[in-house]
Amino acid sequence: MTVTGDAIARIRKEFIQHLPPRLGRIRAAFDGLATGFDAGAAHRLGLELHRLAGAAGSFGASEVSGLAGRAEEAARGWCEHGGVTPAELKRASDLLDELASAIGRFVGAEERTP
Amino acid sequence: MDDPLQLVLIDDDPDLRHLIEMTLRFMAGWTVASAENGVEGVELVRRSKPDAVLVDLMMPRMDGYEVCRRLSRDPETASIPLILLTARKDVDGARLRDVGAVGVIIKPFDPDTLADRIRELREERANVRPS
Repeated sequence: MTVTGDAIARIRKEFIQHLPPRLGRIRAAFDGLATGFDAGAAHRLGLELHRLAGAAGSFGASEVSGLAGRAEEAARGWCEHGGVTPAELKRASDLLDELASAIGRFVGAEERTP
Repeated sequence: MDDPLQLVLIDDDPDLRHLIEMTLRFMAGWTVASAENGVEGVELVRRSKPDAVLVDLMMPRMDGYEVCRRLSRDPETASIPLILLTARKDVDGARLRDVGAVGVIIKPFDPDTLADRIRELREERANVRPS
């Protein structure tokens, strides 16, 4: 592998290693909202999802990026409206489950790549 | 290869920051200095006077718009092309011009063409500046 390829591969590996803690931060911010709306928690959730959406796409994880982007839109809407309904929370929780599954698939595929 | 540029990158996501740094260093031969937030980024640009600045739009403490506004209104840094980096597709063009940014690169970006896109935006800026 070339020096460039080695460097990019190393960064890609770090990105993959960081996916579980990223998901943990997203879940923690979301769980904070489930017990009562908090604008700060909604903002943190939106920011974490925004970072993931941008980074994941650039590392080729397009499904992860798309799901994170959809969840970010939801969180941004809650910030704008100053609240979240139980139905919106349920939809978002399902979306985060989809996101977790997509991350699992991406990580699994990367690990199978020689 | 074109002349290597000196770039300041301001982004709060460490993985993306490393990807951009390595891409531009290894694939384009550029020198990249980076900061993880807008406050540090503004100071870094003032100290280093780079050829261009690539700044994430959404960051805590100080967002990309505010970084651009401060740098474009400072006579010491006003001539440096400022490029916003964002995952949002609904960037307000009028606001972009108002804060002095020359353009936007939408995330996700293609690492293979990132340097070319930055160079294009720099050159567009140079072409519209009064001689």
